[in-house]
Amino acid sequence: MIHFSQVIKRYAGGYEALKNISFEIEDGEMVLLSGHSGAGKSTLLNLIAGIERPTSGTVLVNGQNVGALNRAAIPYLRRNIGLIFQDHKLLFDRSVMNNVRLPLDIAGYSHQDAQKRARAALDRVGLLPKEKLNPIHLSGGEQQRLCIARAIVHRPSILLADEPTGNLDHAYAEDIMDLFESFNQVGVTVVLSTHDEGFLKQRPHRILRLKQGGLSQ
Amino acid sequence: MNSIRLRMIALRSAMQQMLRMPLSSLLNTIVIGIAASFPLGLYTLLFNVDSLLGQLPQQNQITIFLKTSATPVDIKQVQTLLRNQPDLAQASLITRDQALQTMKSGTLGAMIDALPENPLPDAFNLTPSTSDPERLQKLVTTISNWPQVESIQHDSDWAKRLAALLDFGRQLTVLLAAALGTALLVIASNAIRMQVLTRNDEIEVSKLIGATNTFIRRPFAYFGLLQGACGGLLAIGCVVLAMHLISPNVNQVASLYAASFALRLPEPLILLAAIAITSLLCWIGALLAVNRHLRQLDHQQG
Repeated sequence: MIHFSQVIKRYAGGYEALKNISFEIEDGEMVLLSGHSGAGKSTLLNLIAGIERPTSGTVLVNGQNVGALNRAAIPYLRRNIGLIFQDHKLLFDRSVMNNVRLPLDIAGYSHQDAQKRARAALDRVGLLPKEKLNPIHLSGGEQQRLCIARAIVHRPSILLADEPTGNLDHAYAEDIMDLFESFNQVGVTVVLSTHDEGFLKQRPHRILRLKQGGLSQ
Repeated sequence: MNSIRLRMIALRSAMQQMLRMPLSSLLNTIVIGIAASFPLGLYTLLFNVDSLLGQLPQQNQITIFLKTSATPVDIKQVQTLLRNQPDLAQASLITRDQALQTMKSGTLGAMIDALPENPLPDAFNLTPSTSDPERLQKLVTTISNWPQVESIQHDSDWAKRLAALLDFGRQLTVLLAAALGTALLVIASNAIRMQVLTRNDEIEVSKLIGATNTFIRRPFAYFGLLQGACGGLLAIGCVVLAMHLISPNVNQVASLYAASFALRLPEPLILLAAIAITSLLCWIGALLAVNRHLRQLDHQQG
């Protein structure tokens, strides 16, 4: 499903964010990506989603070579991926409902269909009663869940989450982890990054440890 | 079906955008409308002058006046000479007595009566058989060289000058349209650029979750089209208003010449073309602005 082979990502100026990384993530697997900030976690997730391209090496996602993909093909790759951003990237000029609908509108779903699916996604994260609110009125944890609802609404086969538990208190973070595990249980491949490995230890998932751009398993 | 739906979404988004910033949309539309009204107004002016010219007799008339000292022998000689001109269809003599009679029956009768002698010359009204300007010119030159002829008046001279002036006006319209069209492109592009910047978050997020560039471009392109169309309509409105304001003066002038002439708008097809061109320019301006932004985004995202 996700296959990295000798991937190097070097930025202009010579800084190497990823140094010769190779690994594989199976279909339906849930993998935690850990490391200090600046270890290259975000870069790695960006490479999977085609937001950045590797300097060398190959990144295969669903058999597609992401680094070599035509610009015009990238949107279609992303429609199969749910992205959860560290800074949420919610739109505050529209309601909770319309935030969740965005991926469906982009894919051209009919109004009724989009509305139905968006409600289901909001219900899944417990935000259905707040569908008409502006996201600015949601708490940090609720905004995180809204971001998750938007990432799963179009039923992608891969979920990528960058520090989804970053700013949440412990109980809330556990809830969010449970949510990801429930998606994983219905077959979604989940990759999530965290800088706080401590509370992940009791969970039975494979951990990829990044340290200064290299993998240390 | 899917693509129609995507277009409807874009159209709705464009209209929402217009309503979201009504004042700036309105101001931009006014700027576009005024810019477009200049070439359209000039065109309307030329169109009206053109149709006024159409009402004038188009036939070439040449009038020659003989010297007042001309004797009946001179008149006979000129008549013979005229008969030998191949480019003349008709030549009619108006003797000085006839001319005096005509004037006496007019409003100047009393004044004419007071004159000690007839000041009018013998004259010929000539109708050429050609309308070729070169041959006409040759004819006029030939006749004016005859010793009996005092002066020659070619009635198409002023019409020719006016036609030349009209041609100049047309060229000016084209130049003005080109210059203001370019300005329009820049105005529209800037207006859309402002919007693109204020909607940067939405564009960025949409791209991240799988929107194609076409999807992102579309609402802005439609917005440009809509704004251009409104601007075009406004330009027509400006021209109509200007016509309304100056038409009393035109009517006054026309009535002085006992002519009936009313200002008219150009044909509907031209008006539609004006709207279409304005829309097209604003559409292109919008695409330029969005594409520039999308290129920057693509660049940032490596």
